Amino acid sequence: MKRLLTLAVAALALGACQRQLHPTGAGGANLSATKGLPQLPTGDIAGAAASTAGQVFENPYANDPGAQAEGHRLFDGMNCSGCHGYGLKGGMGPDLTDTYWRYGGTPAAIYQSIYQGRPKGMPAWGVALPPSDIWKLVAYIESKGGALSPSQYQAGLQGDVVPKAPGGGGANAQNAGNPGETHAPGGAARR
Amino acid sequence: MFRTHLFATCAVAIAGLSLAACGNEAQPKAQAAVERPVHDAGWNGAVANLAPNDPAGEWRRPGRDYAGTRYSPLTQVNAQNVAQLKVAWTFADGVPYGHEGAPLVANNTMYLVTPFPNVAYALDLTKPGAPIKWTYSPNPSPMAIGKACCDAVLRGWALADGKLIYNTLDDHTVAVDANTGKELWRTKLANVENGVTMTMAATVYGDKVYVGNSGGEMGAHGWLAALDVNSGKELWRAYNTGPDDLVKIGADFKPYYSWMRGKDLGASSWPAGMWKHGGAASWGWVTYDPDLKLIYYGTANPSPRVPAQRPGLNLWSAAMFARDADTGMARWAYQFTPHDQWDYDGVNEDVLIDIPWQGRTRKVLVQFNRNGFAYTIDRVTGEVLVAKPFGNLNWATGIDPKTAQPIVNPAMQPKPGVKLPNACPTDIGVKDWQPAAFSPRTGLLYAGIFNVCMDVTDHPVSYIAGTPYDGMDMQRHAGPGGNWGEFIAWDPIHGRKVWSIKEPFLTMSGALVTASDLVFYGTVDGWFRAADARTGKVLWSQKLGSGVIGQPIDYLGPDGREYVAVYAGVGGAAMVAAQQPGFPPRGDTLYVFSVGGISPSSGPGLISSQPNKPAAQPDNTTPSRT
Repeated sequence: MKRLLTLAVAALALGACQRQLHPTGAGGANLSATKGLPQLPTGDIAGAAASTAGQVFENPYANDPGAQAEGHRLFDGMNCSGCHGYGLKGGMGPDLTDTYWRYGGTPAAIYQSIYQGRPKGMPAWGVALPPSDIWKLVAYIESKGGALSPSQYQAGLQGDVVPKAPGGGGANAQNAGNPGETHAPGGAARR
Repeated sequence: MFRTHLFATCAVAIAGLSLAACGNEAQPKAQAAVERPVHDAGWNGAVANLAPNDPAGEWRRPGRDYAGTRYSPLTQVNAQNVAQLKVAWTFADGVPYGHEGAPLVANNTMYLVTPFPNVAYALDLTKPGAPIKWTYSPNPSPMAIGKACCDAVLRGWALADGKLIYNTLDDHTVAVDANTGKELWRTKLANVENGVTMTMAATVYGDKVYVGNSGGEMGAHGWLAALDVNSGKELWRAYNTGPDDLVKIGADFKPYYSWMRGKDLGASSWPAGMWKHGGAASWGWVTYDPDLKLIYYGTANPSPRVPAQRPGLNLWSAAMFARDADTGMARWAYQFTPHDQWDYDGVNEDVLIDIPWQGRTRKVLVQFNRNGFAYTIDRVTGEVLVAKPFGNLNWATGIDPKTAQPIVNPAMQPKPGVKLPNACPTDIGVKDWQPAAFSPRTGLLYAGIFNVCMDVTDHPVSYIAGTPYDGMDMQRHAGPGGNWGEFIAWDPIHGRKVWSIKEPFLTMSGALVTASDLVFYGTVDGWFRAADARTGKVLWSQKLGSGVIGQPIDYLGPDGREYVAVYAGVGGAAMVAAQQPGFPPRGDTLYVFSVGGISPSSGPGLISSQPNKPAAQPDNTTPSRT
């Protein structure tokens, strides 16, 4: 509860700084599946030769420059850049520009990672941020070129997306990434 | 020592080493438990109390002694035979994070703890191949991996009171029986969800275990705590920012300089309330003076790393404390970098030595601070005697001799939203946590240092629990000369480099100096070297499987032979240079060397480890565990 309050206070404080963030408005710490969370498998689907699950979710803000700009403000304002870098090239957290995604790189999969959090330190933002803000964050990440298109869902799942050159190697924090988590420092060979 | 020596000689014979080989190699003798160093001809007069004078050949804490000298009394490996050092045996733990720790040796057992998931191994040195004697896994939360700023590292562990004691990345301190590996106690110190992690070596002096937190990039509230070595119960906790009662400042607190005197400065030197998330973590080293009964340790950067958000001195960040070892009450403090603007943590090791100074002996400590100045400080009073640059810096032009405050270069102060090019050093400093060594024979300190500068842009940030409270955006590059690293010998009395070895890659390993005047260190590109401690001439180099960021030690095996041990497993803050051409892959291997590579673990014929030994932690190589 204390943490929730802190988040709410932080969000309000940011609002006061005219960062145009939405206060959470969340009623509790439970992540609700009715608030726009795509129902997307994180792994493969048992018994199915192929899944089309990733193809049905488009980012409602795809290619919207206004949403990308607000996503950028959110990305810095929510301290995403503290882990992923001001250039999204990784640091404490993974590079988001290199097309390598442990939990999927389609817009819906990225949405899900932000909403739910991930086990090695990525916080869940589904309580603090409304779905529209999360989609705007996804729009900003997409604008940096590392995301996959919805139609690349299968290719991403099966390792058929050709990786881009390694990223910047943790320009933000003192570390440059966790080997099991990030693709950034030195690329695939170092993972 | 002597009894086990005889036993091991039998083991060597069983292992099939020929008698002729034994005949050529004079059998080393067990060494006396306490040795007083004989000073070298070029000695500058500096000495150290080597208490508790552990048996020569054992290594029970990362700094070896209370003073943190990392000075070994062993002399079998010397300038004449060091070039014949070869690998005797190795141990790989399968963990892909940075290996920053120092192996420990006692009772013919080697003690190792991996980076996250912090698995402990005891290796039986009396058997061929040093098989596993026991193993213990504390099962830390994987969440900690992503909350640690600078890789999922652990900087050391301690052997004391028959226990192996260490911190887990997810904020627990554990003690296990050194003979059996059975967990004796486990104490939770903080909540990892708040961005607090623990990476420092738990340090034991007397009946107390000293532990501190990491998380200065996550808005942690820094502290050092003392636990009871028998029960793990927390006895006291001293915060590094906040009002005097939290900081454990009372009537006995007497800082040498007047600008650090006053009530509640740890709160009033911040904008209202900001000390609560003001960083100043304690993730470095604690040393101990058994005569003064004081402990010495440093505090990390203030949070957030954007100075424009926190006008004021930001006490007691980027500082150090001398505290009563029993009560934790502060005796004096000194802030190295007031209102730090560049992330110059003050957590580096304080090596305790005694020097001749203006006609009398002064008890001092030496710290190579991240800010690039090497300080020689009276450890009784906190008076700064020497403060000289030991590497490349441009943020300050010197230290005011009256106030001991740095004279800041106004051109090198970052402003929000404005890119400041070429500020030196970077956040990792001219030297990071990697501990220096001191030889009472030469009176010199030996340290791996950095030559790095940054283009820095500050971005104002807000505190959100569990996320970075940071705001520092950097591009780092080598400083003048293009060499990222350097290894130096330093005269702490005259404040000058005596010799130096330039290294193309970062030099982020600990140092080891021996009574045979050899100094050992490693490089981030994977070279492990031995140099003449008097001249800096490199006498031996060996390429290892990964970069060396561990802390070398030496010990006597059960066969009476001297071995040198070091991890190769690059990671940690060295990864800031991961884009440098030629940067090595990660690694996970402890290398153990002896003259000629001779040991019970190699030789002609069929050699086998003893059967029925425990397996390694069976699942610590699966992705879900690492």
